[in-house]
Amino acid sequence: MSYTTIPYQKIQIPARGDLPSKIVHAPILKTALLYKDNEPFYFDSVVDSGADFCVFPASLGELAGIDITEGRNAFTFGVGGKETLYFHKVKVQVTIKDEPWVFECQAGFSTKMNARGVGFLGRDGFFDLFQEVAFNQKTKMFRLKEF
Amino acid sequence: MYSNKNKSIHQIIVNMKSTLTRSKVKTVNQLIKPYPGRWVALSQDDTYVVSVASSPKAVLSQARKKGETSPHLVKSPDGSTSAIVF
Repeated sequence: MSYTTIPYQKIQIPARGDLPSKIVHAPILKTALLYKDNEPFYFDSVVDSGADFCVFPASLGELAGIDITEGRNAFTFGVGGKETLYFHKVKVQVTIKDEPWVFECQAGFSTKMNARGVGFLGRDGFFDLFQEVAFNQKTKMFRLKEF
Repeated sequence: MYSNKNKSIHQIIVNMKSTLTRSKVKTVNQLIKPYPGRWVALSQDDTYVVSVASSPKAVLSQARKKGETSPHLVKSPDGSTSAIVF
């Protein structure tokens, strides 16, 4: 049985509204969308056990070469409220301890997420790679247990 | 003979060197901090900024023109879209 433990990433949040500047920690993995033979680029995705599926910013999907609005669409309700996601079967690469892991999934693409520029690695696809995904908020680490 | 005392001094020097080396390498946070609200293309090993632009398309295009074919694109947080999730 093999475990991989990965530290959360520190993110510096500038002051906004009445909230002061602060540092938050999040389980983040470097991600790429592999589409046709297009040269990949990388972006950050949050490992999110609350997400049914992987969701990425539509702008990054288009940049990878995917015709986003050609996908099957579905209404969803999430943190950002109601929106239409466009779904495509995609090959996703995540980098875990400098090693590339590739999986296929039906991923949603969201225009609301364009402003933040990060994706979500959800249960369908990413979590299926592992027997267990555990988060330790105290140590700011998450652990992936392989099958 | 390599005494325990020498060993610990040696270890202290190694640790100091390691700390000095680490401190020279900027973190992703430090690299993107000067560009709030902008897209930043980092080298694939996250050690330096390749290009900065207002859209992911522009920043990727500029990075590739500079020879970085697979950069790491990061949207630097600002006051309006500061957090990843909320």
